[in-house]
Amino acid sequence: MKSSQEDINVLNVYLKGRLSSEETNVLKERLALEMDLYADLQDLKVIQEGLRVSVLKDKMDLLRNIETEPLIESNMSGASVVHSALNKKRRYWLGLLLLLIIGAMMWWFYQKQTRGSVSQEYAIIFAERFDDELILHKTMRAAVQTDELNQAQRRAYEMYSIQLFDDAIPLLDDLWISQKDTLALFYLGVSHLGIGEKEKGLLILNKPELTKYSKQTNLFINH
Amino acid sequence: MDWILKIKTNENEALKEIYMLCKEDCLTWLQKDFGCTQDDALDVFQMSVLIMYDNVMKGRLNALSANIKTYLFGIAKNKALELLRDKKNTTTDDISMIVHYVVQDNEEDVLEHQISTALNALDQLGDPCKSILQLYYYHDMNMEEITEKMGYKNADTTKNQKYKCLKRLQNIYSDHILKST
Repeated sequence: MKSSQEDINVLNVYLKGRLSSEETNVLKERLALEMDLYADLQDLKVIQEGLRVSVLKDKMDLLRNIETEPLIESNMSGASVVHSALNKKRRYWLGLLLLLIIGAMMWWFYQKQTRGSVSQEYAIIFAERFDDELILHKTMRAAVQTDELNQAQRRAYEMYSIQLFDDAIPLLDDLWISQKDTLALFYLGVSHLGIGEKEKGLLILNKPELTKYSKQTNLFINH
Repeated sequence: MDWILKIKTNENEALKEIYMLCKEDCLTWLQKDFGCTQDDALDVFQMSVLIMYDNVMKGRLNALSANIKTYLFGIAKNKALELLRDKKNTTTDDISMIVHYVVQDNEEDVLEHQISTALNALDQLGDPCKSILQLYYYHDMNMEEITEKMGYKNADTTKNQKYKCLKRLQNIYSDHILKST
């Protein structure tokens, strides 16, 4: 660039279109005569366009980045970073909770399945001898007045009779505790065996209070 | 929303917002009415946003008579027609597209290879000179505004710095021209 700083300034103002018509005319006359000034003007035009394209290229990159970068990252403010982190944390805990619920349901289902099944060694007794030999209140009721059974006993015994042992166990337990009903205690032992709780069932059936039902308890104890 | 003012004061944020606001409708329209492919429609749309920005910065667009979407669609329509007309010669290079569809629309006497040489010279020049010259020539800032933006001591310092940068750039540019001939 051979022109002076003042002349370059004049050329800049000219390129920005801010010279008065008089100043423009003077400059045009000089440009026609001074080759260096004219060459500098041509260079300035190219440089100016180069600067323009360089800015536009930066903006084009900005627009292209909107497409390539996830929006959450390109526009992420401090608040949205926190929000996103919270969402992440929340998703983690919800996932964990869901896993726990599924696990608990599977455990409950497994327990229900295993609790409800009679152990194989007593299966034949429950299938073939339960009605005739293990429902004792019918026999008793046949010998005495039916109204000797109170409502709690009737309900508990019925549950036992139809082998709904899960429902019968708490009722029979209550009867034994509150009324010292030995038949209820016997039924309770059998019910525990009926849901696969062998140890608990045998422990009850071995109780001295049940010696009068030894014929029945021996079905299991001596099996 | 005064989009012109927003572009002038917070250009990157404004461009992102306008882009997100208009993109889907514009792409759908370009594909449906002009048969553009998805890629071509995206090129036309991005070029249209760029032209709108350039028009604001060059002082050709000072106020919107319609909403921003209508204005962008108007540009996109013309650019889509140009793109379809020049389909065979179209290049995917960003610089060539900008020069072809934005710059040479208005500046017939500056050739693409000259601009390309100037861009190489600008890359070699680097910052802060490149930024000072962009602020002065493209963003049309005065010495006081550049001084504040660049954190210089006073406007005279900035003026001297700008002149030195311009001389350096012109020297680099001349060297590139000489090497290429």
